[in-house]
Amino acid sequence: MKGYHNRVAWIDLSRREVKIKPLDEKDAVDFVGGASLGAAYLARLTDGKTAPLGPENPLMYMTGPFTASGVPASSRHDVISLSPLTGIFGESNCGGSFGWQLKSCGYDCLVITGRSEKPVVLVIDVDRITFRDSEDLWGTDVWTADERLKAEIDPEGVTSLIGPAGERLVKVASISHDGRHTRSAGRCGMGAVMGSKNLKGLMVLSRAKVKAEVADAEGLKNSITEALKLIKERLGPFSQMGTPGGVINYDKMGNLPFDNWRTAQCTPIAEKTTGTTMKETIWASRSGCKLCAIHCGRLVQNTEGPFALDGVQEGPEYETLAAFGSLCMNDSLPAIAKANEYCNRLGLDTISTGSIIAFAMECREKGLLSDEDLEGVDLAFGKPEGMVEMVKRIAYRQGKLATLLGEGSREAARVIGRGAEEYAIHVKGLEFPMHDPRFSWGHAISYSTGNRGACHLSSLAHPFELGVPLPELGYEKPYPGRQRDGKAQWTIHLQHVMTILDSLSICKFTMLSNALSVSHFREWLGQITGRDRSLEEFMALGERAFTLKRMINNRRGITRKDDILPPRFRTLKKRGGTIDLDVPALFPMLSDYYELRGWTEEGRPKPETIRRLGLEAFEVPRS
Amino acid sequence: MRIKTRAPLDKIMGSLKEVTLPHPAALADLLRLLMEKTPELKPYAGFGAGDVQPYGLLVWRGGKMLTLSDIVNPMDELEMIPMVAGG
Repeated sequence: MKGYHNRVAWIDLSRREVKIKPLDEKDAVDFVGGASLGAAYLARLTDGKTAPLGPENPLMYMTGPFTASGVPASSRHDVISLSPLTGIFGESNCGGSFGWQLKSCGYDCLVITGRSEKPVVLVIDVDRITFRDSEDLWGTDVWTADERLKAEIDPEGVTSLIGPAGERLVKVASISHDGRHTRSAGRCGMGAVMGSKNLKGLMVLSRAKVKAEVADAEGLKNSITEALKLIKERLGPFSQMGTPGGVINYDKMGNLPFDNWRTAQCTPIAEKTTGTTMKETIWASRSGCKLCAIHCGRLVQNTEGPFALDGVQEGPEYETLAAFGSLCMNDSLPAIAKANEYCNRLGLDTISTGSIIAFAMECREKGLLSDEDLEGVDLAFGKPEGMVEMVKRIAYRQGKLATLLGEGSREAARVIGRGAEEYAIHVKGLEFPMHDPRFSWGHAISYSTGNRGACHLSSLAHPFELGVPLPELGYEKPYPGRQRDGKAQWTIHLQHVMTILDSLSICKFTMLSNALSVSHFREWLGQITGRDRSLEEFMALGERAFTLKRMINNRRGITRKDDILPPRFRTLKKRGGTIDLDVPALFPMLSDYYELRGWTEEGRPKPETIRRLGLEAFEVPRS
Repeated sequence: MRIKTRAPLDKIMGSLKEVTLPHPAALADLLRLLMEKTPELKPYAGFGAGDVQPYGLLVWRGGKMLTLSDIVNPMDELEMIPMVAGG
């Protein structure tokens, strides 16, 4: 099929062997690419007993038909594996330039299995993949390894690397791409999977510029030209402010989390950590992923004080600002930027790390962690020094507490006990992103049912509740944020749209401010692959992959009991300041959700649902 | 009505603005008027047919976020904040 190179590299680290196999056309038709195709591979290569940190768990780099095709904001790839943090399906979508360069090397995806005897880096070139012994890089931070590889192999090469956190199998370890201009595959602990394979990282060489054939190049070009006008017109402010521009409004709405999700509103902290304050203080310039028309990234610098940064670097985006800012009641932007630097360099997920530290702060406040437990770190809300120090310690597994926190908030709460579970804010082991499900009931459903755990990107509900309609799917207006009726069906539609975007490999921000819509993506998929799909067929792509991910999770023990928000979001109304938000009507909405999806009461896709979606081959008899 | 703005809108139209509009008027009418006087505001305050919110800002009256069809009143004190809904 057009739009692909029809080349999948199967890399066995144990044997140091690479086999190039064709992409199965039926897979491309049914799953398109990206995270959806990765789910199909994962379903075939693992079972309910596969250990996430065992050599048999594959680590996969997936591109999609949009990657490097000229479609705007499509330099993206997905990293897919079983997650050591959650024990279930893991996916992490990443921008930057790695996805673009990997596809330009002539590969649709890489499937990495086994475990190298010694540390190694994979060097990806257009005609071969080689193994570079990397004991010299083991122990270095990401930026150092990136600089050394560039100096030695290719100054324009693009890296995907772990830092000390991944090497030490910290469960919230990320994979950092693009060196100092860091783009992270942050969620689900993919860095630990890489570390378990003795794989320091990958470098894709820059010389390759292989283009996948496009079925209707002229039509695609014309359509993109029109779409770029929309992006320019509607996403101009987003380009100027980046994601940090949302902080003040989110504080006013009640979407911004404070004080480990207890306090409703704290405008002084929001004021000091918002994008405009960043612009006036540590901002250096805008940045963006390769060939992106939006450029939502920020470069920052800070040469003074206890949180001085090591040079100009990628700055914190919204999730990071909130995780290390308001969630920890910290108003120091330099401290947030420093915590972000440590996460990028040492290889940690900023969302999970900030959440785990906020959890520990509350445990300390409630007397569940003693001064002795804290090992000299002042882990109080509003104390940025302790927060930043703990980030570093988690990455290096330095000390008993940091080692425990690096296992994730679910496991840390289990070990600490005495009610600590109430302060661990996660679903299925994945810590919450920074959008409050009491504000967005769409997120209440999608956090609960997200296949990787609490995930705002599985539906991206909040902008669609605030201002973005979905006319192709029958929603001429944005759907009210806190309305039970119809919410489950609306969220299911959004989950399918977002699943499709992750299979095409395009940035979800293109849909903000009502810029691009489902029609654009459907048209482009047809123009690229030469296979037109009706709207119904197009949306079925999302349902099929979403359901398959659920089936993988069912195998690993996930049922309805796991589709639940933490107690705080079921009992604690969000009130204070100008905020007055009730808890979401979760259980009734979930009942609607299961019925609409064709799942059993227990949360398993029914046989007829599996048949309808053509997923029988992935069905495993229940033991 | 009085309109308070934040950076970077304050650099475009000043931090506080007094505006007179015929009543009744919707938020969309107010934004059209402001864009007519200050075209540099269009990237933020612009909107298309069927939009519920402008491209890049939100308008608040007290703790209530307004949509383009909401009526604004002569005595209103509004706050205009650049918006991006990312994350």
